[in-house]
Amino acid sequence: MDFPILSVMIFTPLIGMLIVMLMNKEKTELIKYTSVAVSIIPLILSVMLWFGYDSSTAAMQFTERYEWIPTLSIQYFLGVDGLSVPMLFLTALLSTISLIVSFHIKIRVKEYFAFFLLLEAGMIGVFAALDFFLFYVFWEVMLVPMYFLIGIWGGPRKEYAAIKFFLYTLFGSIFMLVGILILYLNSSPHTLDMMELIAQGNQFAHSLQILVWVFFFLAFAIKVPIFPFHTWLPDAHVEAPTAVSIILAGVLLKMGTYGFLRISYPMLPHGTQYFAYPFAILGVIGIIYGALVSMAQKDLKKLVAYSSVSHMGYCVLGMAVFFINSNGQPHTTGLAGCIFQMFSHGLITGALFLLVGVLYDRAHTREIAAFGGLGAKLPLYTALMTVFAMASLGLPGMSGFVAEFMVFVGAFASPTYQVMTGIAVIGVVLTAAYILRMVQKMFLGEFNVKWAGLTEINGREILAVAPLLILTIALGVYPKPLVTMISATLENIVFMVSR
Amino acid sequence: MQFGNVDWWLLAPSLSVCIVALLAMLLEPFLSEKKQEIVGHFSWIGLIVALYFASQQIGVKSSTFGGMFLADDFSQFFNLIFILGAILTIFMSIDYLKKKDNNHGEFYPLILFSTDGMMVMASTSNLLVMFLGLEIMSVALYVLAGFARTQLRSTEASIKYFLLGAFATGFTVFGIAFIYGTTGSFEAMDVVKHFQQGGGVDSFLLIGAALLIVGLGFKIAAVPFHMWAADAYEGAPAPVTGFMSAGPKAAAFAALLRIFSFGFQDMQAVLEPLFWILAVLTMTVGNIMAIRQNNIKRMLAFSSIAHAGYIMIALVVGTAESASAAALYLLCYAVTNLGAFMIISQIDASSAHEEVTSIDNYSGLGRTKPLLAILLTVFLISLAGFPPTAGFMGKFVLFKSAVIDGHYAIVILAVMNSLVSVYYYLRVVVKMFMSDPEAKPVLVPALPAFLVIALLVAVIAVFAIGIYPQRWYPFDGLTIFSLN
Amino acid sequence: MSNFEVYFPLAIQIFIAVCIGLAMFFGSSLFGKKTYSRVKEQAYECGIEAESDSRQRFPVKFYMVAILFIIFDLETVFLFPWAVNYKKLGLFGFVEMGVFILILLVGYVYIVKKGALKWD
Repeated sequence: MDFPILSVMIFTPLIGMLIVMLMNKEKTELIKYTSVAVSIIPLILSVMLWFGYDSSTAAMQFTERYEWIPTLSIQYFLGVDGLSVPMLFLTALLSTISLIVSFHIKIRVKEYFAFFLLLEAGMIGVFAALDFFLFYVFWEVMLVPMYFLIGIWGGPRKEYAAIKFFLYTLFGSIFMLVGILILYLNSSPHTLDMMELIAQGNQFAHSLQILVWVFFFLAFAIKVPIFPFHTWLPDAHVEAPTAVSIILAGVLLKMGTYGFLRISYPMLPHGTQYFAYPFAILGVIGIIYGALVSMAQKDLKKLVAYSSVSHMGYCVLGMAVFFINSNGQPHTTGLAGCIFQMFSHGLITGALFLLVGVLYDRAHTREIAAFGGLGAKLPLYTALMTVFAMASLGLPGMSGFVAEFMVFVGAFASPTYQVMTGIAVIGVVLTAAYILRMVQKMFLGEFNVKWAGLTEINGREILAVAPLLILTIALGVYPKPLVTMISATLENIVFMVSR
Repeated sequence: MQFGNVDWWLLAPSLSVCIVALLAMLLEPFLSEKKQEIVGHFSWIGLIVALYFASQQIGVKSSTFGGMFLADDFSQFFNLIFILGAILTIFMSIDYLKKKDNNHGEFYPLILFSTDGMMVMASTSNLLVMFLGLEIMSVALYVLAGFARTQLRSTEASIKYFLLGAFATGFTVFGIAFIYGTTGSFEAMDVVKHFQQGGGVDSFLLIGAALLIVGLGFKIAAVPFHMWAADAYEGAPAPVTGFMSAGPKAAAFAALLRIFSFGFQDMQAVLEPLFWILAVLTMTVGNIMAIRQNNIKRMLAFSSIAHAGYIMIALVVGTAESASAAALYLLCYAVTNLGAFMIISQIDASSAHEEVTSIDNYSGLGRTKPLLAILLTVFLISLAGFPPTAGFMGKFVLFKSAVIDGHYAIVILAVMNSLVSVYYYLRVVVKMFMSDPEAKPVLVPALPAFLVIALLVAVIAVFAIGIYPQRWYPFDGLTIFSLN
Repeated sequence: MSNFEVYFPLAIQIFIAVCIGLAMFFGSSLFGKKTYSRVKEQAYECGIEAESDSRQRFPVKFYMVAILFIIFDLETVFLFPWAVNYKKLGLFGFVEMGVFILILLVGYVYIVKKGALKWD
């Protein structure tokens, strides 16, 4: 394709950032509208990408390849497959929504929107890059605006949360850098081209694969976050402003799982097989642990944050299950469930954070026990919150259900993982418990008169949450478009990883 | 240009710096106190002439003075660092000295003499000539460190730097003597010949090498020879500190790389563990000490020690590729650190007789002086090694050269260290953007024109090297003249 | 290792010399008779009594002149080797020496203009 659609997607927010930086900082309204307008361009392009994508093949499409630093064999290489197209759409969508949600920002508006656009460029870059160096650059570039967004506009413990998030992620990514260098060194000819490295994936020595897999695991597991590496997440989520929480939960966590599927799986097939079982165990621990901790939360935002740990556990469990069955067909149900969960968790948790933010803006507290009987006072808000809460616990007819169902079906198909699947199902019950408890305490029961002054969710906020609502229900009822989009790519990944 | 068997054209860059320095010195007493900055303008114009000569020589590979003075890729690249560093230092000093009520024109010839010494150091593999360059550089630096005569701290910095520096000089000379004793030559490349003629790892050669490592290790502030660095960096006037961390460090590394990666290449197996330990110690101690500092100059002093540790990885690896990676790293570090010190000088200049270098002085700078704060953030992020800045490119190239040679462990230690370093660099950023301004915020003066130019150069260089290094630097490996 | 063999006697000599020195030093304090008195505690037991602290302030002018003397005196030292074989060095040597003296001249002019040689 002649039109460099991916480059335009990456550079539009960057140019937007420059425009915003040059604007008069007094004209906050203009800055806000400009930013949203800029972010709509990648959104439109990502929809075009979705419809222009040929889902019958696993080959990279819309590729752009230029020499960048030839002597270091570094290229500017972009491209998408069934894995990245949904993620790009999710990123662009959530970015626009987050920018709309951010209209309530009052201090240092110009910097906020500039950082946000830089963040968007970095995120799109991560999902589109096919050169390792480029991938790493975007991966790191994204950190800086995120750090400032949490650190300047965050809650009371923002500095602590920001630096914790930053150091955790950086800790992982420096290991990724070493892993990249080791792979570069062991490839022949030396290359940083991801496609080339994937092609050579089965030639790397087994011990090397295990070592590098661990390095990449550190980088991606911290992002996901997988159980022992999750402690940055509640802090970052609770302190971050609403829009940043949406991006964190909706996009950044997905980068971890995306990294596994794009890099660890096809490039290090032996390492992946070697670690598949412990990987699944960590996933199940994440599901149960996240759910149990959520039950104990008094703060609404923290509850949603820990529920992310639990929900990303399903992704990990689904990811761990892959094999080629007796008639040579790749078993992709678990992986499909994982991607479905990534997408649907982005929608649902994004919406939940958005709604928590809406309430917090009005009530200035997030304590669950402080509310009660809001259903009568804020019927529309209550309806929205309940719908997404139900989606989160996996009510049939919503995208969350489809995702979890696919994960369980996929995992149960393998005898190795049947017991684990059984344990993981308990997680669903626990999820139902804490979600329903939250809904009951906040929206049902006796109305707390203290909140008589609360106003209903406004038009702008409804506008922001509406696309998420529509997509959640649409995918729950008719999941086929997403499944078709990813199937060829997933089959290819399973073939690659079973080499 | 031949006269008396000497190719004067090869000497043009370093000779022009020397002549400009002498003329500047001559000019200074003829100017009244108010017009001292003319010396500064004269000096930077002279340096630009030198830069022109140096750029004209790119690609030349020759030697003169009977092989004692070399012009090769290596010297040309380092000359670029030195001259650029000196120009940027002069740009930031012109107004700084005036505001600090310390407007003495001698500052500029001293910078020039020091630069000339560095250029000599990088342009020779003769140990005696190298020593000559080292002394020319150091003596000028001792004076510069104490340039703020009325400040007790500055005097302390100068004395400490001088005494310990003189001590280290003794080690260097002693080491050269041992090497001369073994190979019968002052030429570092003759060590290669010594091995070619069947000579082994002679114990005297080993002692000589060790003493040289001590002497030059002092100049790069490698642990455990780093004790002077913190006090000297903290006490010296801010532009001098920036200059010290850019040029002299690069010059000492140029000498180390030339001697050890090229001259002593046959002894690499013996010296490697030594460099390994020194490198790891240097980066770790530097980073850990930096965490607790509350003075930004002192913090950057320890950060400078840590960076020396990273660069020492090139000595551990000891290949031509790692040497050129180290050269690129030094260029990146020089522009970044000078950039940071431009901001620090500007903040420091807000009081004529007091030091304004505490990190607390940076509280809320993001709100009061957003431009300065953003630029300092860019430089600090580059020091921390984030893409797409020069600092990242330097680290990437250096670590890559180490991994290719199979040195995994030290690279992992280095990246862990750079993780630690992010913490203290970000502390400043946190202060600037996330804290409220102090009750009595510092009154930062308006940006002088020359500082603006210098900042522009630095920030463009940081991004240009970070995004497109190909244009600025061929990675094929710097070649050393005497080997070809 | 031959180097060590050559220097070994020297090392033994150094060792013995140090031992003798240390033995005398500690021996006298161990076996010597100890008497303390006011006179003994003085800096100079015999001679003129110290009137004040020996570290006195003196005008920096002396220091200045002394250091300048050393610098310009060294000039002569460098001229000697040139003078000895100036025929062999020829024009090149002459020019080089001229440059050397010119550099010193720059320093001299600087000193004079700065007033370093003014006594009052």
